[in-house]
Amino acid sequence: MAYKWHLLLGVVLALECLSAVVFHRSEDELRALLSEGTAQEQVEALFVLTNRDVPITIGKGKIQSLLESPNPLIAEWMMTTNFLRFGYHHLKENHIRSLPDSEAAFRCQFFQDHQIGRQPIKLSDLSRFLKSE
Amino acid sequence: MLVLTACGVTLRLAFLFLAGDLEPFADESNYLYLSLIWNHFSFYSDGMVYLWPPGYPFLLSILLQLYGEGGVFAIKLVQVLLSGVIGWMTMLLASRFFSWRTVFFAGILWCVHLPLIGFTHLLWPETLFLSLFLPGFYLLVRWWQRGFSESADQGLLIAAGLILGISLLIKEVGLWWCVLVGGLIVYRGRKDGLALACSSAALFLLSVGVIVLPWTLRNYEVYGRFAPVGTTLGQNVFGGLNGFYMNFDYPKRVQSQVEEANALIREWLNTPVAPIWERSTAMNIIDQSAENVQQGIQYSLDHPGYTLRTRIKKLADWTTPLPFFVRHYILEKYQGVLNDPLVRKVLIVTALLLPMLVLAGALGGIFFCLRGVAAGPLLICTLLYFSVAGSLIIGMSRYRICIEPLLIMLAAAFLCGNRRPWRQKMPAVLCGSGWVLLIALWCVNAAEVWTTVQIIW
Repeated sequence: MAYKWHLLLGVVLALECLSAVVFHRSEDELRALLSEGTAQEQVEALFVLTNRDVPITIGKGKIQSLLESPNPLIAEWMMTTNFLRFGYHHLKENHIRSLPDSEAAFRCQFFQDHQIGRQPIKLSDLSRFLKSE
Repeated sequence: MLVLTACGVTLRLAFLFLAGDLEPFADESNYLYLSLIWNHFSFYSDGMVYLWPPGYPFLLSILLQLYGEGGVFAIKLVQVLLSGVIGWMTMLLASRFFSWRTVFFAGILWCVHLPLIGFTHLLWPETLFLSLFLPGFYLLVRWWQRGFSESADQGLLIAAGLILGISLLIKEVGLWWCVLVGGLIVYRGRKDGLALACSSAALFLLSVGVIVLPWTLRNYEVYGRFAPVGTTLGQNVFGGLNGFYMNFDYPKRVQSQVEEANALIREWLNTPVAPIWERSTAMNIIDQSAENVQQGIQYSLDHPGYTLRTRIKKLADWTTPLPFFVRHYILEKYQGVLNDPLVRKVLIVTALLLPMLVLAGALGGIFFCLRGVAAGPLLICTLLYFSVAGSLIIGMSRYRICIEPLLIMLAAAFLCGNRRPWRQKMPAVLCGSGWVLLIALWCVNAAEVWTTVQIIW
């Protein structure tokens, strides 16, 4: 058949689109993950929600409560974001200083300092970061 | 070919060990950062202003998971080994387009080409991209030069599309080139019937699409917008179509001296006529990119004279002989043997002369060696596309790397005498004009390059 490859590739593309529909997570599902998911699911849900411009309030109070979340990954992820998503740099610095665990503080500081366009990562810091994980 | 490839890989391996553990700089650190985020949070983030394709950070994240901090060395080792693919494909393309003598010359030029050697031991995706782009391009050349049955033709297009699709997950610069190739496939196949030609083009584009679509859909899932592969255009437009000048070939250490040395030309070409427009603060990175592109285009339309003048400097930056390899000397990254005074001088001079030889030779190759060569239009359009893409917005030597192997092949063809006689004088006139233009562009940046060399000499 002359167009068998076109058909096959078309089917693959259709399956890819179908997968996207099947695995699509709505805002409600993401909000549910934000409160009930695993640590990593919560962070990913937050990442997707903020990117989709879902109107979640990201004022000072919200940022503070996210930083104090029992899930440390959320605070660490917020350190990777700049003023475009989560500003209030001083809140993040205060949070780092308040952390009792020095390795957790180091990780937060690492993510904060080496955001895209800021200080380049030193190999010694990379080594320490990987050991702290 | 095997011997030359082995020599080139061995040389790159030697540089890898001699360079030692280089501290990441600029985007090297950014790619490392993204891969660490991927491992730590189990999803791919973005750079706030860049949404880079995931391929390189993904590979780096895997190697960091497997080898810890040794992952940085591991990816450089992978790059060195993959550079063998680049060398092999450069010579294979030379055999497709020209003669075995050209293959030999191209192999030697590739072996010692310091700009390409440099990228094998730095954390940049160019080597990985080329190791996929060149085989895909080769398959397209084979299809173009075909004498095969229809089923083999289809196999070539599908394989080319799949491989080039993967290359787009490394660097997205070739995205619209793939669309252009679709048009070229129709052009090539038109004599066999338009329906068949369109069918062939569709086959290629579908193959690219099969690879690119999943990540495009992922971007839609995360960002609520369509961004095929990634989007870096907005940030590049902010830096390139704006009221200020930037060129990452010059680190901060030399910027003020370089600016002073070339003050007259920079004043004539780069003096802004309007205030800088500010980058979009949209939270969604794809919206941000789109808004930046709109602002940049508007700025260019509002100030056409300034835009045209600054393109001359961008073109000069794209054709500069100053590669990232020399930039690492400016940054004082190389130590040990590579920083021995005599070795340093030899390497710097070689690193500057080779791109000049390749660029000038490639012009000769285009005008004197390509006449009547099958797949010539494909090669020319590819060179034009990447030249425009690499110099229209921000010019930098790194943006030339995508086609450097093709330029090496053309330069080798010209230098080893693989010329085809022309009846008219027009090609000689055009080539001569090209050389004059190239020399003029080098003169635009001559003071900057000379000052840089003096600083690191």
